[in-house]
Amino acid sequence: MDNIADIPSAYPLLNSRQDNARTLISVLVIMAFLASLSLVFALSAKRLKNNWQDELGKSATVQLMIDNSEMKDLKIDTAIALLKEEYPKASVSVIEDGTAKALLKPWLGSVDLPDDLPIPTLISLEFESSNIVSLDHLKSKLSDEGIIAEIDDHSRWSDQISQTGRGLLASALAILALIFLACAAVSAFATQAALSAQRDVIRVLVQVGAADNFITKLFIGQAGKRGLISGCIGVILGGIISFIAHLKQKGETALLPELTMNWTDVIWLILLALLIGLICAVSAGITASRLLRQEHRRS
Amino acid sequence: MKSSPSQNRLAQSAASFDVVRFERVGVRYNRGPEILSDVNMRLRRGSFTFLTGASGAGKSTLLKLCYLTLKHSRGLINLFEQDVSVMSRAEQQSTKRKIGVVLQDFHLIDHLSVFENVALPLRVMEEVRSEYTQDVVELLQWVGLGHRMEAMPQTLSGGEKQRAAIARAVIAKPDLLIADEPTGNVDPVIGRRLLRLFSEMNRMGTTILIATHDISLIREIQADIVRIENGQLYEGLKEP
Ligand SMILES: Nc1ncnc2c1ncn2[C@@H]1O[C@H](COP(=O)(O)OP(=O)(O)OP(=O)(O)O)[C@@H](O)[C@H]1O
Ligand SMILES: [Mg+2]
Repeated sequence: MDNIADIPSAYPLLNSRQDNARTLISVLVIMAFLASLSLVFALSAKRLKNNWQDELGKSATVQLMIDNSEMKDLKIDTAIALLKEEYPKASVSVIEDGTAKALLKPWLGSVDLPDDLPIPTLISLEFESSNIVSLDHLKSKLSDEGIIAEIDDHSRWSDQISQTGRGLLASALAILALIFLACAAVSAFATQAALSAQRDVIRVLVQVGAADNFITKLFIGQAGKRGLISGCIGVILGGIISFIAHLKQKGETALLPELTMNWTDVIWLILLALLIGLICAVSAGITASRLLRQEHRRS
Repeated sequence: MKSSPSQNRLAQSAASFDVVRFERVGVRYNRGPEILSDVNMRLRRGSFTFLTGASGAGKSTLLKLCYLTLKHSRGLINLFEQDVSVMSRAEQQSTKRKIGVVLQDFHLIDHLSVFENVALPLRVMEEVRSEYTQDVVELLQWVGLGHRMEAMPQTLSGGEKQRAAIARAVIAKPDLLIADEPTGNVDPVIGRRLLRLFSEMNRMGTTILIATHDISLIREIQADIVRIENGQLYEGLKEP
């Protein structure tokens, strides 16, 4: 029988042209696009927050209040020794008076500062990695040596930044969750419409003894495929837009999180497309099996 | 092995197994008049029955009751010795798989080729495609559609559609074959050929119920005949 080879592989049992697949796919593409932007935004916000905290956590400034100028050098040496003992891996350096004055410039204007202005001596501490422990204990240790010091470990900023960062992350995730919910709703509506558009097909399937599960699986497959296709298109578009935004903003310092990309984001975006397909499939499955059961109760 | 009394009883019950049994069945559409009233009918396993009656008498209605598409209003209907009114959905589905149906208006799926339409019952039973492809092709050739396997139903003639519908009804080797005017659209040669297919299946054990007003068809083979008149079921053809 030579024509067996000509039999193509199984056609989809549901007629894909009968329902408004194109509208559904367009809506899903838009949602996947928006979802991918919020995802990249969430990832950027998280990255930015970590960067800021990292930068802040890597350094601290110790301010020495020394009124007795004769003891100044000795006290500075004592303080440095203590700090080095405490943090052997950190780089400890005295900020030169000149530099310290320069730091004051933005506040005092470019007037010549008198030499005898009591500028506190600043010692900067640079850690190798972000330091999460509080440095408050240093204060009492220094005071044991008779040195009055203020320590700025930026923790006040760090808290605020992490709060802001968490807020941004949470809003982005909330938007993402809403988009997922909308995808599920759209897929449920589409399944409902498809069930009535394909009434003839379903009637025949039921006549030849198709189980509800079999019919439900057809709708799960169709919706999952459409969700996945739309998810991929939307995510690719979102990825391209994010990448363009990333290129444009490179180098400028950011106060608000902007879209930045990292290669790991690609994995997240792929997962997002898969998740959209999954959500559509699950929603279609639930809808189809519910409607088929209802039909049974009515007949 | 010695046959025990229980085995004897089993053998006896198999011989008198009713594939279809109606007892005082009445049916109406919505609030309309009763189309069938107090119908009693028994189709024994392996029987071959023609159902006749004037147009509008209720032949299609009676068949619908047999293939679980219409609910009776009163009386008792047993299919394969199981009361249909208490069947679960799953039981209904497995019962439907034992029944092959050829409808008056064919009910082919428009977007599927002839091959796919005929293979549908096997696909629904989730059988392996490579295993049934050959069977489907052979059956299609036997009913004279070997050259139209890839055609879409809209492009078929009435007789070709009918043969596709018949092929679909018999492909899964059903225990009960129900056909509504299966030879209504084909020429006598093909009609006789289809009838041969039915009696061949009947010899293999399939119970057959065919509604028709084609008297010449009925005369072709030895079979039981029942007719519907005024909502009642009678045996034999109407006396002239
Ligand atoms: N869905 C329906 N709703 C209401 N009345 C119906 C319906 N289907 C059939 N009827 C009525 O039931 C009666 C019997 O119809 P049925 O189709 O069983 O006749 P039939 O014997 O098959 O006729 P034919 O030989 O023309 O096919 C007819 O009077 C018809 O009008
Ligand atoms: Mg009829």
